[in-house]
Amino acid sequence: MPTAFLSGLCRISLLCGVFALLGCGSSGLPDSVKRRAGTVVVESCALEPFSQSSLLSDNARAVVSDVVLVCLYVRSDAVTPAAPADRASVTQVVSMLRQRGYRVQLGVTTGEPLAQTPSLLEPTLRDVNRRGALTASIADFASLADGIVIIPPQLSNSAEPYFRSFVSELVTATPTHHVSLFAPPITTSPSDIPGGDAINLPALRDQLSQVYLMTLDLHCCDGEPGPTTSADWISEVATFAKPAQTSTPYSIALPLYGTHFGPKDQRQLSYLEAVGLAGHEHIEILRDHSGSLHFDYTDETGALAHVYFDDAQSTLQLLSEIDQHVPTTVGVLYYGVGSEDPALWSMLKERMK
Amino acid sequence: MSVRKWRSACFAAVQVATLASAAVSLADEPPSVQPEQEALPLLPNSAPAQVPALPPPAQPTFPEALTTMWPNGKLSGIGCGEQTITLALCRYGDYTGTITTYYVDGSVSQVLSFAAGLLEGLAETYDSRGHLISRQLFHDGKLLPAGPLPSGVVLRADPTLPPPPTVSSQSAVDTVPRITMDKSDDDILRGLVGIGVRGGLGLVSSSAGTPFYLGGLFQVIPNLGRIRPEFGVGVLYAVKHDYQRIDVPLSVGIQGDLFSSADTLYLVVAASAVYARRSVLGDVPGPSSESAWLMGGEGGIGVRLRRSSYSYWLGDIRLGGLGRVDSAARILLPQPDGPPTPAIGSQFRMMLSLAFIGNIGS
Repeated sequence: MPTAFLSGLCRISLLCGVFALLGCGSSGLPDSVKRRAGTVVVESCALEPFSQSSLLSDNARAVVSDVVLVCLYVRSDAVTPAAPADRASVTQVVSMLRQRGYRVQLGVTTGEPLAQTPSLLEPTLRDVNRRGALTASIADFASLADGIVIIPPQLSNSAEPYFRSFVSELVTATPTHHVSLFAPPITTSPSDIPGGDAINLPALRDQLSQVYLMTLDLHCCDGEPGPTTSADWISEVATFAKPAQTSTPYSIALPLYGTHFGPKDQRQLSYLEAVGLAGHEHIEILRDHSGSLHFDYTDETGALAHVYFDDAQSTLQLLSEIDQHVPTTVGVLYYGVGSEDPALWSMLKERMK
Repeated sequence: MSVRKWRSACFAAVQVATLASAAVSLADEPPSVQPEQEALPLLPNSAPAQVPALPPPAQPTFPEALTTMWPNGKLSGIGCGEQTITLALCRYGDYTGTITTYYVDGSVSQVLSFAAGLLEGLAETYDSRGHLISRQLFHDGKLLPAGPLPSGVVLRADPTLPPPPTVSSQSAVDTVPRITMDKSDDDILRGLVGIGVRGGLGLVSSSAGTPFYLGGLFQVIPNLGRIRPEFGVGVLYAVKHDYQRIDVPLSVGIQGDLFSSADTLYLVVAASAVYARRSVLGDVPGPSSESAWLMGGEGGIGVRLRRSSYSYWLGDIRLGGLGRVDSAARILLPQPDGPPTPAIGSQFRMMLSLAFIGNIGS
C-alpha cells in the first residue's frame, strides 16, 4: 500500500507542478533601443514643477538635447507669449534651459482646435502685408531662443502656396536661427488628413532646420477610443516622408500624455492623473499587446469613459518596434514633458544605446 | 446334558426373555434417533437361541406431511393439515436430513432438520429479508421447551446456511440474496482514516471571465462507512491569458455512497472557505495583487474504485459557487463590452477531480 500510495501522490503532484508552470511568463521589456536625437515639447512659456523636475534631471538631459516651448500665440498678425508669461519670463526660462545644456526653440501656434476651419491664420497668410507683419513679430522673438518651430493649424489646401511663402519669408527673416515645422502625419498623397496638402513638405524641407512628424492623437477624430499612437502608424508616416532622401533632420513624435475619452469630449491627462484616477475608481489598468495602458470606468454620470496612456515600459516597447522600420537618423519628439511616467528618463538613459 | 451345558442354556433363556420384555416396552414408545445401541454380546460357546421371531415394533401413526411448491419448482413449505410442520406433528416420509423452504422471491424461509421423517434438531425460520426470526429445537417431531436439553438428545451441528438461491432463467422469481453474509475480503476497505491528494481541472466563471481552474487538495476522509466526512485543503490556480489567481480552499464535506460496496457511486456536498490572491498582470501601474475571502459550497457525484484493501481512487464532478465575503475594495476589471466588473467576485465553478486515497490505521 505505501508504495502505491506514494506513487499516486507523486504523479498528481507532478501534474499540478506542470500546470503551475504554464502560468509563468516574461514581461517582454526590450533590453535596449537605438539612440536617437531627442526633443521635448513643453506646452507653455513657463516650466511647471513637473516639467522643470524632468528637464533638470540628469536622466532627461542624457536623452534630450532640444526643448520646444509652445509659447508664442498668433494674435492680430503678431505673436505674443501665452499669458501670464512675457518677454522677460520667456528669456529667463530659455536661459535656465540653456544652462542645463538644452537648445531651446519657441513654438508658434494659433492655439486653435483642429476642428476649427478655416483657421484664423489663413487670411493673414493670404495677405502679403499681414504675413510680413507676422513674420517680423516672430523674428523678433526668435532672438530670445535658438530657433522657431512653426505649428500650423488646419489650413485649406488652397493655402499651400501662401504657407510656403510664409516659411520662406520667415527663414529669410531669421538667418541666424533655425526654423522648424510640426508637420501633419500624412501617409498618402493626396493627404489622408484634412488640410494636409496645405503643408507641402517636399517643397519646404530644404528650408527647414528640422521636421517633426506629429505622430500623435491617432484616435483623436475617429470616434473610437484607442492608444495615442502606434508603432505601425509611426513607421508608415516616417516611410512616406522619406526622411532618408534629404539632409533635413526628421523626428517622429511620441506622446508623454494620455487621452481621456469621455462620453462627450476628449482631453489630455498625465500619467500620474491616469494612475490616480484608476486608483480612485478601483479600476485595474490593462496593458495591451503593444504595451500601451488603458482602462475604462463609469464616471459620475453613469457613462463609460476610456483612458489610454503610456508609461516607461510602453514607450520603450514602442521605440523598440520603431527601431525595426525607422532609421536612427530620425529623432524623437517627446510631446508633453511633465506628463510622463517619472521612470521614463532613467529607463531611456539606461537602455537607449 | 452336563451341568455346565444346562447352566448355559438357562442363561440364554433368561437373555431372550429380557430382550422380549424390552421389545414390548419399546413398542409402546415412539422411535428415537438415538445412536444405535450396541449389539448384545454373543454368549461364548452358545448355540443360537431357538426363540420365536418377535413381531416388528409398532410404529406411531402420524399424518403425512404435505409439501407445496412455487411455480418455479422451489419448495414453499411443508404443511401438516392446515398448519406448518413446526406447529403440528406430522411425518415427512422417512426423510433424514435438511430441507429448505423458500419465499416466492427466492429467499430462504425455513431450514428444517429431519430424522426418520420427523423433525429432529433445529428448525430455523427467516423473514423475507434474510433475518432470523426463530430458532426451535425438536425431538421426535415435538417442539422442546427452551432450557437445558434433555439427556439423550444429541444436537447435530448447525447446518451450513444454504447458498443464495439460484433460479433458472425461466423463473419469474427474483434472485436476490437475502441472507446477510460476511463480505469477501475483496470488497472491504480497511483502515481508519484515508489520506490522499485530489487533483482537479475545470472552469471558474464570473463576470470577469472564465479562466481554467486547476490544482490539488490534500484530503482526509475518515473510513466511517457509507456516510463519511471529507476534509480538504490545497491550492487551486485560475488562469487564462490575462487573469491569474491562486486560491487556497479549506473545505468540509460529506460523501454518501449509493451502494454498499467498495466500488460505488457516491454523492458529495461540501462547504468551502477560500482565500484568493490574484496577480495583476502586465507590470502595470497600481496594485500588483489583490486578495479576497470567498465562501460557498459545492455538490457533485463521483465514483469510488477500490485499489486495494487500503487504497482507492475517487473520481467526481463537482459544481458549486462562491461569493466574496471580505470588506476590501473590489478592484474592477475593464471589459471589452460594458462596464468594468469585479476581478474577484461571485463565481460559479465546475471541476473534474481525481483523488487517490490511502487508508491508515487498522
